[in-house]
Amino acid sequence: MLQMTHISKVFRTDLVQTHALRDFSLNVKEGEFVAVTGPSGSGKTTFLNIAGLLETFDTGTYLLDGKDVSHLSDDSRSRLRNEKIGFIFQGFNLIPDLSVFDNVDVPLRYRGFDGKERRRRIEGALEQVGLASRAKHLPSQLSGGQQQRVAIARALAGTPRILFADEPTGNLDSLMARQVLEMLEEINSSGTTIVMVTHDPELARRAHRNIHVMDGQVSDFTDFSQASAARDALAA
Amino acid sequence: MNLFQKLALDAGPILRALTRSRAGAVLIALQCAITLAIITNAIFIIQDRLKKMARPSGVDVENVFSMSVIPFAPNFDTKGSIEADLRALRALPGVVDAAVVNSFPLLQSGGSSMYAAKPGAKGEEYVGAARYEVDAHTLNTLGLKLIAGRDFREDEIRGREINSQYENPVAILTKAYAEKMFPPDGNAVGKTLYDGNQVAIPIVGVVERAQAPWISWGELEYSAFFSNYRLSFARYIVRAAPGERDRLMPQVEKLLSESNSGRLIESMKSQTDIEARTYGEYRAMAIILVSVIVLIVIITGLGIVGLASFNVNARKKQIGTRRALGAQKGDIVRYFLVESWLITTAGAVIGAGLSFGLSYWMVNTFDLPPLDWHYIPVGVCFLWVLGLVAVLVPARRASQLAPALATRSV
Ligand SMILES: Nc1ncnc2c1ncn2[C@@H]1O[C@H](COP(=O)(O)OP(=O)(O)O)[C@@H](O)[C@H]1O
Ligand SMILES: [Mg+2]
Repeated sequence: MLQMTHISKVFRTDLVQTHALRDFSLNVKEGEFVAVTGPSGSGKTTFLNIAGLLETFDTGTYLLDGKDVSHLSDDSRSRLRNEKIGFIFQGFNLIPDLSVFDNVDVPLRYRGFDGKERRRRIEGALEQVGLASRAKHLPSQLSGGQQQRVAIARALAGTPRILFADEPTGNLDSLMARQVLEMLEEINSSGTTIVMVTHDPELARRAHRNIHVMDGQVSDFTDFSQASAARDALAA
Repeated sequence: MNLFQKLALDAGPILRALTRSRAGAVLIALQCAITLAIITNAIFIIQDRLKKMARPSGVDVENVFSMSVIPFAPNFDTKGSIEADLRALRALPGVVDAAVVNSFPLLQSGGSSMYAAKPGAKGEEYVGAARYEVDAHTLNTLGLKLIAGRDFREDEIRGREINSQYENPVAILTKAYAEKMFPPDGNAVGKTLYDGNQVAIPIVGVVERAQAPWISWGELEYSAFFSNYRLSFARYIVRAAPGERDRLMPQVEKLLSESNSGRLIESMKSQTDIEARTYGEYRAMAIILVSVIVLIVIITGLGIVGLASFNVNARKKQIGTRRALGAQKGDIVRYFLVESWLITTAGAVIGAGLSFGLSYWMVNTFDLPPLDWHYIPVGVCFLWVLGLVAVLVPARRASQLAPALATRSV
């Protein structure tokens, strides 16, 4: 699904050069749930931005869904994000002046769906996150957890192949964080690939695989798929 | 999907978002409304002024010049002097003709009287006309076009003291006045005009056009010429051959001042100068209004730019998020265009009402004609274009914002 090899990214300002990623290589298979951990400033967000086509990289190759994306135009990158990628942000990033319904509608309009199709998808996505009754509310009228669920509905409404989440629970208390995580697990179990950045080892452990980033490089892999399979077996 | 459908598709949520954070937008919409009201009315007034300035006076403006004659010597032979002066003027090479008159179009000073088409008429049967007291050379000197009957004959011309009665006068009317007095076809030649003293004045001719001397007079085209010129407060008019006027004017001044010292020749002016002075106020008004329009359009344009720039800065995160969710640069530009279009449209709706309100007030206060409604749609289109053009630069800047702003704190 996602194949990065020897990716590097340097941020240049007048005074300093920051090597945000160096020789960064990573493979994420279709249907995987990968958690990315690492100290602050280690390059997690940079990785996610490059993976999600929000930023370009300097050297290396990146195949998304088997397609080389390094030379795509800005418009094609937008279209790919719109069709294949869903984003969930730490700060929810809902548009404050739009209702829940209109927020979920945003990517669907860029997709060019007709009104009927958009309505069907918005209602389905809000149903899925349990907020169908809040369609007319403004983000400010919802709790943090609810806002993040709206953001999840927005990410899901376009039926993306892969979901990128940057600290999706960073602004939530532990109860709400658990709810959000359970929702992500449910989405993943229906086939959507998820890459989630988190600094919470508790949450990270519930992913199939854990990638630790240090200083712009992958420093450690932990595969939980055996462990979680065992846990699922135990729970059953 | 064509561009217009795409724009319309965006309008719904943009409008809903606008109504939720509207403070800046409302101010700009009001500014647009005021702009529309002022520019429609200002352009209407300018048009009105230009139209009035373009009205033909009937006179050969380019080649005519005039001067006042003021006798001051005791026992001055006014009549003899006027006749001698005119003979000398007509003899000058380059002079087409010269005449003595009390007034002429565009002078802004002169007289008018009421006349009726039958004897013993009642009050409302009298109609006013500018009263030109002239000689047999006047039509030719002013360059008026005779369309019926004939010009005055020399034997019909009398010199008259200011407070005396007309002596055997005959009249030539303008077409407009002839049609008013002898409807429907204005066949006035051979008919008779009666003044307030019941003096019967046979009509011998009709000219196509000769404005009254006052440009703001309601019945500007109602004028009548009479074959008794005035001995006091007379003016000479001279028509030069094409291109000869500027050479002739100083020459005429010199000739007249040297030929007779019993009278003064004053305020020698070309008809072009008189026209410019007479319409000077109109021209100044038009220039002021154009400046007002330019200024208010700049201010409103800057207001739109300011609001859009403010919004771009305040919405950096939102713009990054939209980009992350799949908006192309064009979608971001389009968002700001539609938003601006909605604001100017709201302004236009209020402004249309305001335009008529302002017009109504001006009609009552300054006696202006009421606003022609056609100016409103034209003004609205202009407002739309202004809104779209003004927002273009901030919108482009917004579209250049990095999609990564969605994940980076700004
Ligand atoms: N736009 C930028 N310009 C300059 N430096 C940047 C920019 N974005 C990130 N960095 C730097 O790159 C490094 C990695 O940042 P980031 O990927 O945000 O780390 P993390 O998400 O792991 O905290 C940091 O040192 C950060 O300061
Ligand atoms: Mg980060």
